[in-house]
Amino acid sequence: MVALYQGRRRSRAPTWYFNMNNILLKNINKPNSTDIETYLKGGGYKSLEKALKEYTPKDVIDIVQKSGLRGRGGAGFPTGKKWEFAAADKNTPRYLLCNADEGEPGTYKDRPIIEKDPHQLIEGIIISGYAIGAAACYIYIRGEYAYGADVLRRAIAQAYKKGFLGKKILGKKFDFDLYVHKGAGAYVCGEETALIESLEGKRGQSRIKPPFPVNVGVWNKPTVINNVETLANISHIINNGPDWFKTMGPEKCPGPKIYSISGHVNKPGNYELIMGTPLKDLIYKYGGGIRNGRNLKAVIPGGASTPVLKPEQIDVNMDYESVGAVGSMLGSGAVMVMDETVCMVGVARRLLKFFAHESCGKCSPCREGTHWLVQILDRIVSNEGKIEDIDLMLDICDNMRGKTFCPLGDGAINPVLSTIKHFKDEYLIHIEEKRCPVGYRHSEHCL
Amino acid sequence: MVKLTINNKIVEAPDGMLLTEAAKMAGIEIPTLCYHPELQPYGGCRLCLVRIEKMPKLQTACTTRVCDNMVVTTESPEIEKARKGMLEFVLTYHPLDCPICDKGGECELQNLVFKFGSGFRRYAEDIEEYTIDTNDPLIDRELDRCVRCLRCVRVCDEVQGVTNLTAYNRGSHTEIGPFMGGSIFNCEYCGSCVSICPVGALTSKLFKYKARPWQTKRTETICTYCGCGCQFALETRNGEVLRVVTDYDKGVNEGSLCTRGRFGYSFINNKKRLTTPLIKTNTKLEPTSWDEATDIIADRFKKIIENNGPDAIAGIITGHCTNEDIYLFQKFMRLAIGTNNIDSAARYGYINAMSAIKQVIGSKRFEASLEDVANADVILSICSNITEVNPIAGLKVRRAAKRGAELIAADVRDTDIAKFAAQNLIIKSGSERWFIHGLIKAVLEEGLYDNKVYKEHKKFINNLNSALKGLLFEEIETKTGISEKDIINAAKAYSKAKKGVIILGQGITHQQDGYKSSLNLLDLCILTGNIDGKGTAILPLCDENNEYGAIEMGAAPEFLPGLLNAGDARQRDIISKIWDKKIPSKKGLTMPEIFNGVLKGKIKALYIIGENPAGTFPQKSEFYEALQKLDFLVCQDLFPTATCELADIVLPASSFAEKDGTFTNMEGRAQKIKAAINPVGESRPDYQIFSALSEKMGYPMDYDNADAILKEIAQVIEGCGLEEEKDAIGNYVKISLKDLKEQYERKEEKLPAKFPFKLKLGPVLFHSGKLSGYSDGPVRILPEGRLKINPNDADRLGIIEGDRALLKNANGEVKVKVEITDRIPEGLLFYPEHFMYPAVRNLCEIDIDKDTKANYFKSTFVAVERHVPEH
Repeated sequence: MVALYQGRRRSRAPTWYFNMNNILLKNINKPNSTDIETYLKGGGYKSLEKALKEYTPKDVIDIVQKSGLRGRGGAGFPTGKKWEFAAADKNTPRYLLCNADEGEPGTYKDRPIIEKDPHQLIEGIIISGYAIGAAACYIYIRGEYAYGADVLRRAIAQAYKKGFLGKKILGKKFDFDLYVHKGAGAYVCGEETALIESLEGKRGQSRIKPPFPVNVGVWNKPTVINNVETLANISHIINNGPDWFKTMGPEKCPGPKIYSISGHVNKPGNYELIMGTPLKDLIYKYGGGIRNGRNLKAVIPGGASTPVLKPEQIDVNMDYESVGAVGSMLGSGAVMVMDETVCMVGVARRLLKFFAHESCGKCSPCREGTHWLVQILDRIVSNEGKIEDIDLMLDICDNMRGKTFCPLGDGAINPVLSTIKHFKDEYLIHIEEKRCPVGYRHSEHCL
Repeated sequence: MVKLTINNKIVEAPDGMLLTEAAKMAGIEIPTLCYHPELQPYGGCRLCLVRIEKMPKLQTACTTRVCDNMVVTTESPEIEKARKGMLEFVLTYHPLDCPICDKGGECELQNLVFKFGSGFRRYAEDIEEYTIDTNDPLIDRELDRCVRCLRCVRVCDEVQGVTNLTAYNRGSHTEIGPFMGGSIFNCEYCGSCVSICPVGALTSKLFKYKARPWQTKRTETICTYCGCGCQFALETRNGEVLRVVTDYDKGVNEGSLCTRGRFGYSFINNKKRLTTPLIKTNTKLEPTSWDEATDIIADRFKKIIENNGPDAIAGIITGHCTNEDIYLFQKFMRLAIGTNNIDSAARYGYINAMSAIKQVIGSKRFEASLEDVANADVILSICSNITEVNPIAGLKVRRAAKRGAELIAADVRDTDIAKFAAQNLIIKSGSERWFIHGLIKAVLEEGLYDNKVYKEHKKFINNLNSALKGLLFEEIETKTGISEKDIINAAKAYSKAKKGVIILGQGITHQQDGYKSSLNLLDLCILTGNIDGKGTAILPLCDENNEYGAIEMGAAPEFLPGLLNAGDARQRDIISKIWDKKIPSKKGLTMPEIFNGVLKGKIKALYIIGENPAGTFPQKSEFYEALQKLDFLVCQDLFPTATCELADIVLPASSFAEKDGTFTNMEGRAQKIKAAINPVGESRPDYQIFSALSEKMGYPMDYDNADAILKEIAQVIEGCGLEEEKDAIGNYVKISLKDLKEQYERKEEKLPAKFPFKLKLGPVLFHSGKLSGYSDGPVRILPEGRLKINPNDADRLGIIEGDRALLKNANGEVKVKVEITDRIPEGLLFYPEHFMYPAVRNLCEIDIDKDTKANYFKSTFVAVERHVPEH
């Protein structure tokens, strides 16, 4: 259905990074970009020096707060605020966690940073650690990014050698350690409290909030959890100042943003643009339009858990507020484009199958609800659906909405609800005419 | 306290309380499934969703803490729909097999669906197949019924500290099972998971298909398996005990039980129980009537008194009897017979600790309680193996350690509690006294004693110093295998304690010099100021549930009820006045003295209640011989034991489930037991037997019921506050240097060259005494004993797992199965004491304590070789 894994072809030159903005992805296409020397030559670790020498930790927090940087993991929480909460907690040691568990289907924005420019991330992490007074940082990287984890480990070793990590960094009274921890393959561990549980060696399930991780996090210590892309922004903010950062994009959420475009476009890939780039531009200007001259049928704007948009709705700026206004979410900025050959019932079923597989099983609505929905969708796609099934599904979704333990269950119902809302006719064709709306005679095509 | 509004009702609740609890207090019901008051909040089932003002979504009441001005709605169409929806989710896969499910009638899910459910099922898809596993000896796992509340997993971790159960797989495939996989739980079998399961996913095999919960009668009573005195309820039907249940908020155990308590009840209705009095005709025991049996006993006793005097009769009673039984027994012996020859099972070692405590602190109940253990900040556990001998007391230690208390565990082998210890010290067997003296030496030399104590008892400290003068740390290190540094560290940790508790195990009390060692440890308490009577002292563990009571009721030649001194005429008079009859002044005999008396022909008749010396004493010992020499032996027991076979008259006694009374647990807490069923067969409660006998002996002791006896006991014990015990410690520290030096003598144990292994017999988790051997549950888990041996020793002897080993010494040889484990040090062997066969006990010799005449027969030296089976 959607070509998610183009980046698998690692041996080839990475043609899927497009650094239109030249900030986060500026080093990507340099030869030997993962080496610390390359990074240093390009002015690397200058901002770390600047932060440590010119600013107190509180200054750094103020600068980040002033820049208006918001978390790039999907929730869009102001980063400076989060740091302030953690730094205010007297309990020590504090920890920084880097969330590199990039599990949202359609999202691969962190991957170029990890695999091609690890030092940018490491520099951001050290500055952030300095700001919140953390003793150590753990990069929780998804198990599938084994190559990325290796790259990071090598880069960390280099940074230790150069004295950017370890004891008395740059001669300052600041000790900081950095570790890489590989996840074992659970989508839910991208959720911050489940990530903490997993890091502690427990079953990957969300914790009760409050208390929030900023106060009671990993090993019950104050913990800040930031996304890879968020942390990659830090060194640039320190280097160029918060005002520079604010010039990019909308006032409420400024800054560069990497959009992962996938699906039926001519040029799928990662695009670094400014926050608030119109979705239409993403598809037609940067993505090169729909493959084979076909028509656009639907877009998922922010990863699998965000509601589907219809072609009429793509006149929207890609920032948290604007996408929210048209009834979807920016999420991780993973734009999945689908042309007219796609059966939307099949899409809903495939996505639900993912969520049912990834539901951790802690709370009953998510555990049983997702599974139940998959089974109903299985029947509809196999042309064995009943007309009551649509109402049943809506009722199941209603019983799940806002009642699950963590956001996974809330996100899981979005594909079903939005496809029923926008493409109810396709469900009806499957149920009443017992055929696929896009012309497949055999329903396996939708499975 | 905060004020909040629930359903327009203003409710006051303590700050930080969970909303479910606050609502419950106010009489408002919020349905829950995964919530359990004993466990940490989880929030999985989502049944307790409520609307809280200013919150965007519905909130779970079981995870939300109350705060001021909170406005909560628990009943509205929105919430009702949510509840129905959540129940529907929980029920999607749940098989509707209530008619054949063991939980039917007490199933939380059944109740919830009945009250809040929608009444029909919309889920029409395929139902997944889940593990149904009935291979475990005690616990059936039917995971199609599981609602994934994880209460079992959480209780196993949070309450029991075992972490054996786990949830594996993910999402709707989540299943519960043992962490190591497989279908056998292979854990401590405390049964908490079965007890806490809200549905029929985990059920007890022993109760399966026996009855519906509403058909059973529930009787709250006390467990008899060890000195913890756990509260539980027996569920009975038609005179049969069907299962044991607990409430999480009741008793010292707070709902927890060990495997013996939870699954060891079926001895009560065991078919082998004695049901009628038996009389020996020629060589066979024949049934007879109570009247005839008691007549004969009275006649024979009277005749012996006539011919040989009352002191030719002696009595021994078990610590499993109630206080009322024991009190009446000693009164019967002292007044109706007229002798002080009376002893109890406490003579096997518990008396050492009790005598030492009486010596130092007086007869006031001054030991630490289980609650003190749970609240202690430093616990020094010496040779206790507490989690196996007294599992619930062990649970308190675990909890304290988990909370952050410093646990110092010293034992001759690696025991389970060591897992939780900050300092785990494995001392060489036989060097226990060196270790204890090392601790005291460290306190003295490092100046770790309490300043107040130093000022008050300077002379005592100086005396101690001189008593320990000759002992060097080098010697301690070679003897115990513990370095000077470790001993000093342990002493430092213990002496800095604000609430320090010493747990004194059988490894000390049931051994030579147990009395002296107990005194030494009390010295340590005094030195470090850990003896202020506020829960910082010493807790001797007792094996039989009412050993404390046995001593306190006066079932010992040296003690009268209330721990009064039988040798003191003034103290005798106090009791005599209440009894209105003079107590014989002649000094009574202790258990070993009784048997020696038999051998010398002084004792002609023996009355044994619930004890089985023929089955516990080594067969080659003189004591065993003595049993055969008796003119007249009366045995009163639940089961036909080896001793019963030698008896002239056997009387069937009732078990704890068939009588009223009280048990005193090891903290000195007297607790009531209630009869759950009528006496099995013609058996009678022990006190009724004593009453009947006393009447025929011409000294009628007639009581309406056990309560009447308890009233008299209360009267007796009330009158025994002794003037001279007011400052018992102050008196004790005046001890002369000579006596103190004697207390600090150490006897070297010589390893005979021919028998290079030390064999220890001791208790294990799944059994208690011989009683558990008659219960289905414990036998299913541990049907036979295995000899624990170190891998290096096994290697040297060519023994592999599954082999049999031949144990040999001068007393004979025994074949036993072997378990190779590195938790036992080289040169030491361990075998459970509970099994009659193979009779490993016969290899031991009886050792008698010089001070308290306690008799020990739980260790010996043997040679080991691999047994080659003959084909």
